[in-house]
Amino acid sequence: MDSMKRFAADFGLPRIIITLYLFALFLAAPFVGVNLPASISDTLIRIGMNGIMVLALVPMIQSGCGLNFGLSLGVIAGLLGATISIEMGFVGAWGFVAAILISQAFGAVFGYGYGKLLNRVKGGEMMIATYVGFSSVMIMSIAWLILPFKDPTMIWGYGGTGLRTTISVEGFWRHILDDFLVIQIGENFKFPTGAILVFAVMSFLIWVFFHLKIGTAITAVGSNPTYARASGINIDRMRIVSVMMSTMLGALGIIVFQQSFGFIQLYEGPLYMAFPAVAAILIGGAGVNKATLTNVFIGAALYQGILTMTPSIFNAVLKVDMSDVIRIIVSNGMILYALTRKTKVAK
Amino acid sequence: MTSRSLFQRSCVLLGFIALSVYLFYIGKGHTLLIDTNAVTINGKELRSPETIEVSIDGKPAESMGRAERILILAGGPRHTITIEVLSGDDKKVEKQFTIPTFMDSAVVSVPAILGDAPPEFWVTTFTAPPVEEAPAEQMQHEQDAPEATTEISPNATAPGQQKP
Amino acid sequence: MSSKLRLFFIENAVVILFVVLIAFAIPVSGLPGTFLMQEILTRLGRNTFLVIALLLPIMAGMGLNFGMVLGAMAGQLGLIFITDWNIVGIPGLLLAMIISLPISVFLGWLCGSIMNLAKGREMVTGFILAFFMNGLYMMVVLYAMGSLIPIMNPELLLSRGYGIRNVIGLDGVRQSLDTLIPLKVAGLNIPVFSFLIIAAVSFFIIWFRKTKIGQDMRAAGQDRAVSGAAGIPVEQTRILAIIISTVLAGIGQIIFLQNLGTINTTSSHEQIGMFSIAALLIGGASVTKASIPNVIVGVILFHLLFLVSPMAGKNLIGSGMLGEYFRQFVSYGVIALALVLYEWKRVTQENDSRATLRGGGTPAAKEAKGGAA
Repeated sequence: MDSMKRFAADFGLPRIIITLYLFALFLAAPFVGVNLPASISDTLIRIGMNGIMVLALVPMIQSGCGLNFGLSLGVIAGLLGATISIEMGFVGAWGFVAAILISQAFGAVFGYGYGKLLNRVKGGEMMIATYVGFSSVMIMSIAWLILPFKDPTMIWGYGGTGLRTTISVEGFWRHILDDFLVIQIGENFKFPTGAILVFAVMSFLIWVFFHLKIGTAITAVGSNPTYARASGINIDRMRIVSVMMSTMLGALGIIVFQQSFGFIQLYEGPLYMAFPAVAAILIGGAGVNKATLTNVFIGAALYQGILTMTPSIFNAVLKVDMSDVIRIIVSNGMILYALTRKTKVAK
Repeated sequence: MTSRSLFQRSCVLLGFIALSVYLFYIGKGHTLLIDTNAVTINGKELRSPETIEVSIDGKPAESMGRAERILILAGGPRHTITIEVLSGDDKKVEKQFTIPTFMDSAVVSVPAILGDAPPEFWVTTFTAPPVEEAPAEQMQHEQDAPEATTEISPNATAPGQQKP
Repeated sequence: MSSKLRLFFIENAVVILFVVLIAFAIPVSGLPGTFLMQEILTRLGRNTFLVIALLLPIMAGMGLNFGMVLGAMAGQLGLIFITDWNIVGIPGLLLAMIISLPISVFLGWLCGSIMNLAKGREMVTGFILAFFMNGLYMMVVLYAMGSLIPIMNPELLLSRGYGIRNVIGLDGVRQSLDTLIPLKVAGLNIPVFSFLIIAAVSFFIIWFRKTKIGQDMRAAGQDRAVSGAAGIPVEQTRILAIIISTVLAGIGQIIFLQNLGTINTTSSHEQIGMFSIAALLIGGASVTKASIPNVIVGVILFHLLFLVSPMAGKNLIGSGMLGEYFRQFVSYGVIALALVLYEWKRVTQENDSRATLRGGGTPAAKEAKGGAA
């Protein structure tokens, strides 16, 4: 009984409530006429879509830089990769790979600068991350207007200046991962093998990374800086590495997202993209300075589960769509809970 | 909490409640329908002159003929109506009337006022005719104003564009 | 250049930068001076109260109060009710303010308490709390109103029978405050009464700073530990700062909306925090220090930028959106800048005091310290 109590206290009341809520939704599904296999399939697709962005938060949490509200910087790197890849005319698998490679280059550069900035402002990273992220999205919005892109599928028709707000990747690499080795069971269930595979592989790589010397160094920087300093670890350099990793993973994440979603969203699209990922990882049990891969999986699954199930169940039962409001309350409530929790870090 | 500060706080609270009630009373808006249709009061039929100019609370005057109704929005219980008769008699009448607080739309009968009928006949409640009616009779609530077609369902966000 | 002049430039770098920027942008935009002046007068009357609401939390050491949005929501709820009951004119506005008062106080208490749970992270917490409360607000306004909360006027409701419409006209109270004491000088309409109210609340702030509670607040803002040891109830004082801020934000939002004449139930309050904070910072305030002159200068500069950017962008490269994005970039950027400056300074101070304690320290410590310098 005691260990259960401890587990409950550690896990946190909000998470228990959320898990029970999702459980209830799944139970209710067959009774209200919601197609369960289709819902599960949708949830899996969404997990594949968003998983890597959630994964991207792990390095910075572990290194003590807090929740990366500035993930939009990584997203921008990804957008640059995707648009440049299309501009250069690459299609199919090559286009996809090119987009990823280009985005990683940008991600590394952005991450480096971003990391240097965060090193100057230790303790106040989260708020600054948010507004640096916002400002960058706005500079990029100006850039999308004036950069010399020429590809006709991307620029405004009738000779307007700049890129369109949303660019379709149909004909380029739409669903390239989702449909890769896809398993189709019946007419309602589709297992997006490609996307889940990439998510699993990346997670595994991250797991390996954090068991290497450099990974443990980063974890030490986040959980016990005094010890890290005493062991001769260069705290600032480790932090920069973690920020670069986070940004680069974010860049990869948005490209994976786009292949499933079908569109590249420019201008103000990336503005709030960090928040769902942050909420997801917190729902999965992470704290402001500790995150494990389990947090990522559980969090992504729970969050996307709620996002998929709530609209269909509520619509069927109450004939009203409260999903957006519920999403706002759940995700922001979760972040709030994590922010107000006392941290057990030795400083 | 000491009983004295409890007393003080209760006084403040009661003060606010009293103020709210007062504000509600003097601020309640009404739709006034100034009506020149003939009315029959106590067996006598009263009619409006051919042309008059009517002004409520000193606002710019509007001219009216017989059997017309114009709409004026006003706030508060007490109002002044100034009727200047332009045809025939040439007289100017200024009278005060009150609108009950919970009467949203009130019909103010000009013939009743001019005909020196007892004040209780001046103002009557407006009851909307059952089905559709001519636009002139239709109630025009203030809230109609920017009835933008934007009845956007709060869920018009694509999966990728979520505001926190 | 004399050192005094130099100091002036460094201290007021942000303001000077913006004045230069705007001086450049105004002729490029091609907007006439009289138009700009009238707009600035109107916007001063409309927005200043909201920005003033941010002053006390800064003084109390809680940074930029992103939670002022909660007050704006309370104000809007008040306006929704008086519109429903059809209370017009000044009495309508006063009643809206009175209705918003208990809501603001409650939300302010909630916000302050939650911020106290996240000391050192008040700004992020307030930022996220604003979004969270937005969810609850939408729950109330879009689902509870008309169903659980009785709404008398069916015209306010969505066609599904419950939930408030997206856009509500405030014809009953529109411009009531502005036209109360009409004044026209050189062809410009001056909202005298709004200015009087702003003056009144400014005097309130100045007076409040001098009271015992005000001094407590300032002390708590400068050093929590020392103030606590000196017997100041730090936690309650901080909550009080947020409550007052929220109440002022509620009143400010009502003033704002009566000038606009319409409420957009889902979005009127959303950007208000960001705009007010950006304006205050552009006026030269910082995360730890802000005063009334910052408010006035900030509102003027911010709104001038607001006005000229779209046209300037259009004339420069033929796209109005450029100006729009630039303006948003400036708003976000100035907040980012203020935050960076604040944290940088704080980190440098902490490192300095740590260094004096250590008296040099180990090479590893030196390296870590050097990285942050």
